[in-house]
Amino acid sequence: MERQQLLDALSALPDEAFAHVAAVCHDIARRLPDDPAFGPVGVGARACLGIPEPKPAPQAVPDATPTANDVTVGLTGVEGNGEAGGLG
Amino acid sequence: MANTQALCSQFKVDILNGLHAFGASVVRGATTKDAYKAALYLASASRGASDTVYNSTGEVSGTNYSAGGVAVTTGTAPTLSGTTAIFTPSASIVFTTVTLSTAFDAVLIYNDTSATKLAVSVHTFGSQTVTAGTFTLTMPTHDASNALIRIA
Repeated sequence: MERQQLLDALSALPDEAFAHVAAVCHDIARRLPDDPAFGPVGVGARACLGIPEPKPAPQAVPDATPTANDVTVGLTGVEGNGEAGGLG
Repeated sequence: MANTQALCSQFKVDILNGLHAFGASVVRGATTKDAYKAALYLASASRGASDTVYNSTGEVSGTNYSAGGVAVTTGTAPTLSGTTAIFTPSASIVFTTVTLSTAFDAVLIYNDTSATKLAVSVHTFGSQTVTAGTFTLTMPTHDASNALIRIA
């Protein structure tokens, strides 16, 4: 069904039925994902309907307790200088 | 051709192999190489060039760390790189699953075969602590510029 046909069909609905469809559309817009694969569909639909963007899920807080840690350190060498002295 | 005053390069290697004794030496029971160990020291310790033997003063302590440290792998004999005698342990020095809570920053290499545990060298590094982890000391490149022990 083309977009215009859909709009015509919706406008022909009785007020009660149209209100029901509008409520469903509102609910769909609220649930649309903001997924790059779908483009900004959810954001655009919510903006049109004046629905605030959902708050992002809170990030997990890292455990502050020290955990097992392996440590690797590179050693550096030492040098002694050997020299031969001159005779008297 | 001209003569050149020099400390013979091979002499440097022979020193590392215990083949010379200008002073009183020790009776060696065999021609096999000695065993060496590595002990860790707290950042507050005072290990350095004046050390003559292994000393437990200032040595780290903690879970799975035994006083005296761990064995050093000596799979590669001293050799010459140019005119510099060099020796580097053939494997990293590893302290497995230790907890060392007080900062440490040095390791002493010493002769564990000698009766008095003769000191060889002290190597420092950035101050560390380890919590239930494996502490590994990796070896430098085995050449005249970087080997762990060099007599130039």
